[in-house]
Amino acid sequence: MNTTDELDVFESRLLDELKGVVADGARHRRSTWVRWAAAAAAVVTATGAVAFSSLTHASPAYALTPNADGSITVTVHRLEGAAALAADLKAHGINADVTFNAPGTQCQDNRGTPAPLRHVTMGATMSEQGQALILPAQMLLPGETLVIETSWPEPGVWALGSGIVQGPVAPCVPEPADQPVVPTETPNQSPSPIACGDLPGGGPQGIPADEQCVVMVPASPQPTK
Amino acid sequence: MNDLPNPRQLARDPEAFEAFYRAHVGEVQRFIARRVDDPQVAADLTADVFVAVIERASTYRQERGSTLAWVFGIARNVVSERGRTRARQLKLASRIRGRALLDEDALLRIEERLDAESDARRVFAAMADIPDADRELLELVALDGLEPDDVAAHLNIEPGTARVRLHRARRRLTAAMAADQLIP
Repeated sequence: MNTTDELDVFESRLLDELKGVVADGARHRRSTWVRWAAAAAAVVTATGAVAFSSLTHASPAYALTPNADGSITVTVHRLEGAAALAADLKAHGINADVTFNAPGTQCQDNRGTPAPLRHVTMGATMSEQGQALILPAQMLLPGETLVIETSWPEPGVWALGSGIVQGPVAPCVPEPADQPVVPTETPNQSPSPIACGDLPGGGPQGIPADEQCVVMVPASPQPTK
Repeated sequence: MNDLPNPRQLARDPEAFEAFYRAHVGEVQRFIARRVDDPQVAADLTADVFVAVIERASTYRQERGSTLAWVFGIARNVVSERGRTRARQLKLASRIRGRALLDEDALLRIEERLDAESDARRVFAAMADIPDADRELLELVALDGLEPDDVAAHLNIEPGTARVRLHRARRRLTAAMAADQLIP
């Protein structure tokens, strides 16, 4: 390996800045997946998080509730029964692949081909009871799969991330979880295109507990203006 | 460069990133110098390229050409998107203003690098009218010195197809440069 003095001042300063980006968790590097994970993680932060295994086990691990507008609310209380949840979603017409990763692990990147660009608005709420995702009616096109994965924004704290894949979905191969993906506000950064903070009433650091997040799937050129 | 970490690790491991950066920062700066003539812009683009490398680390595929072809592919996108609303186009989550990191000596080094690549920039400018599909191939081979087979793998095209397109693009480039010289 080269030595530091082979870099000039610019190159050394830039290296330091870039290592900071890497260490900072490179918030958007997981493209499609991280966008939702970041939004979910922001809700976690705003509300004090779902602490792993701190919840009572008296209730079911998850619940599906159809809403009047055709959407379905999925509330996950504990990270159990992923296959059963996927089957229940399927019964409600949502082709889903659900993975609840062990603490501190996540699935690999790029488990499938991201679905064509479009807006999908999903709700995310966080409470002491767990995390809820509100899945709009007809959110999937034929051949698509809603992929739900756990992220671990901090040790012992989970959040659900999701993306939409067109065609086959590769099996999850667990790997060590990323660093926290919570969006932060710093000068010289472009606003996150997806963060909850972009929404009316949701400042980057002050997202209401029940604020709705907007998810764009997949990570393709953003609509301008 | 075989002992370098897999680029897919770059976004996770600062040490892996540092090794990668040290191995490629010179090549990336020369790549940029073959395309832009403003040292401040070159500094900004150098930062943008490496931020994009971090953000696109998961796109690296070993079977799709060399690591350098992958880096140059990213660098080419970054440079070609210059002039648009950069952050929006690049979707960079983290922006580093490269020019703010310059000192006088570093600025001088960049200017020297730009001077050394002035002929290359003329060739680059002459490629402007070549259709983009052929132009990327031509740029990476003729301007940046990559092997045609490597670029073919990077572009996911057959080596034979690459050679045909390269030949076609070279003819157009030669014609364009000859036409330029006719202008008094």
